[in-house]
Amino acid sequence: MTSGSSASVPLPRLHPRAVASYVVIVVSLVLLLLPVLWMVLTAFKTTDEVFRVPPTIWPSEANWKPIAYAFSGSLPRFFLNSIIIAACTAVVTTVVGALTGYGISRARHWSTSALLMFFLASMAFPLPLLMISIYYLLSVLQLLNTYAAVIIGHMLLTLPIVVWLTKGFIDDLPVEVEQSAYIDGAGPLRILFDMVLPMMRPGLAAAGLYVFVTSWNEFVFGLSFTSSTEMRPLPAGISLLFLQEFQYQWPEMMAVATVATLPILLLFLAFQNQFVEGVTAGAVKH
Amino acid sequence: MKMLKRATGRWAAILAASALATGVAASAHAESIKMMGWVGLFDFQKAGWERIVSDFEAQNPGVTIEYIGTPFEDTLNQATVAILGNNAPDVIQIASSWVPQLAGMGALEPLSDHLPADEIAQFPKASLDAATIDSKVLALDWLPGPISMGYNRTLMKKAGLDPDSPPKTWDEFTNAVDKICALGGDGDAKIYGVSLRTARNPNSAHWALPIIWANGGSVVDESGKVSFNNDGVRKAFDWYRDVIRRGCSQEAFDIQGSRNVFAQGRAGFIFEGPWLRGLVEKLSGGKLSVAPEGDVWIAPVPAAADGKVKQIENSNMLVMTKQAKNKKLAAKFISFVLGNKDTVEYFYETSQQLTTGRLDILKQGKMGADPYIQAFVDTLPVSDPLPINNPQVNAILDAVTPALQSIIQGGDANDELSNADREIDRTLGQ
Repeated sequence: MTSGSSASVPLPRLHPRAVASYVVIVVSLVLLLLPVLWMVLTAFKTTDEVFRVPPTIWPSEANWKPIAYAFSGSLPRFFLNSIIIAACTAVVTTVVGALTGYGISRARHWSTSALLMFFLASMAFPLPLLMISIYYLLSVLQLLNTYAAVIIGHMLLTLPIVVWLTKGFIDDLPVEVEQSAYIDGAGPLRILFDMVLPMMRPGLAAAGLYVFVTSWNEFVFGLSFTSSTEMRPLPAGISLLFLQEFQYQWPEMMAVATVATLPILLLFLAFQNQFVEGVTAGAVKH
Repeated sequence: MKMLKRATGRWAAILAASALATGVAASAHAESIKMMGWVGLFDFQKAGWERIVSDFEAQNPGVTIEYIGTPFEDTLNQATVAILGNNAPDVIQIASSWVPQLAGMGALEPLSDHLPADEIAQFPKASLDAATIDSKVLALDWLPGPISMGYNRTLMKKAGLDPDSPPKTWDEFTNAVDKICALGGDGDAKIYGVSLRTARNPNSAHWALPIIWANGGSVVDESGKVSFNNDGVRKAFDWYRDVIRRGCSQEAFDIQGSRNVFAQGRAGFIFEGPWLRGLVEKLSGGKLSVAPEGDVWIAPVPAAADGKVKQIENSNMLVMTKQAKNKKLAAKFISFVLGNKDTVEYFYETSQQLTTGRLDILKQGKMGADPYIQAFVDTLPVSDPLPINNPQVNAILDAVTPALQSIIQGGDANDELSNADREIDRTLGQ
């Protein structure tokens, strides 16, 4: 019986190309995850063990002090600052970018293409030049060393991509739905909020996630536009605490990096379906 | 109506009182000095810096020090953005090599216009020369960093060398490197003769300068032209190649790598500044001691064939910006940081560094009694904080590092240094 039932389950026939793809995927995964694994393992070592020759892979015993360090001193404040900055940037940029993308997608006029090209061209500006002009503007507006300063900086960095991303997504939405709603008497705002935005949810999630991650990781604006410890976002704070010539607190640095990765990881896990759907929209021609 | 008037009057009184209170509070803290730098970020310097701030504020009621912490690597960029954005800090902690760049931007206020001449005269001549442009002193040495030779006395003994007589000439040095290297070691615990910086980083070229000088080379000719294509540089870079080929130093050591190996007791020599003691004690977990009779001690960089010793100085300096709002107060602060004996000595006790460039203070008190500090102080007259006085110094060093690496890997020294010179000429428009 047993042999009979096992014989009825056909073994999957793997094509050599499929095998090759799996090998590439596995190798890529290992290469990508190895540094992450090393980061996590180092977070549980002592400084002495980090510098041991020959180096150890697994901690000889779990040292929890670096993890505790990641929640002490100024670090919780850096986390809070980053959460506020990244969340505000994500919301504001996604809304502004989506509205702009909607306008560009639906308006049939030569100027919309020019506007789109303008957004694209703005990404070609060298960051140092952009930074000096934004810094000067923020200084005149007396916004330096505030959340608003960093949020504005991050918005300017991410807005062009969001406009392109959402515009591409809206292009794929059937315009006929909006036209029939218009015929039924719905106004433009009603159409936008009740019909277009709900349909755009995956696109908005992808754009929001992209902005959040970019803002969470951004270093230069966060460092330049803030001056007090209380206002520093996480990457700037980490650089001040660890990325110095004489700082050798590798376990503490890795513990902070591990903890800093968690919000992004959780966000991806929560929104991965929408993200994939959003970024791949428009990839296939109908 | 009356009630409304009464309520309005009450609110007006409250607003006036709060405005007055805010005004009083604002005038009590009307003066502030913005200081940008990395001094407060290092654990070993934090206590000394905090004492400087608290003592200065206590002696100057109503004045606050607004500290803007910036990582060393980013401070020049941050300062540049703030200067161009018309929001420059009053005082900046800088590396000595940044003086020409900031001066080239017209961003620096001459300190010689604000500090007494007798106070400025206390700083080493080499440091003053480096920071003087158009007869004006633009920067003063705060944390001097003469790069001397650290040596492992234990390994010297094992190699049959006299640890009380470290090499004084380049030939003696090469011989000692080879003998220590011959001790071998195994696998990951291999022993190197010397821990050189050889990674692809402008810093490797900067650290090569004393080796170039010791081999009779120069990098700036008599007319002031920057050029690396000469016999001395070729000899020095060939020496790098030979030492690495013999397995007596690693091929691509960065700053951290070179320090780790030395602090683990696996290298005979290293070229480092006064921070070496703290590094060795920290990285070795206290296993190695830094003392005249201990495991590690220091000596000047070996002399060239003509007997002359020439070192680099990787010092931190203080500058005042032209945009400083109260220049008199900023100058007072700089004078305090560099010359207040109590805070300077406390800073030394907590950081184990040279905590002022003023020779009169360095040679007295607890620093004067510390042989480690004095070993570095003695080398200040032969230590050059700005061997290439050019705003593009980093670009120059960046052009030389690939040549150093190619030569180490067997490239032709003549070709590589010609290429480096061409790149430098292009950068400087020479």
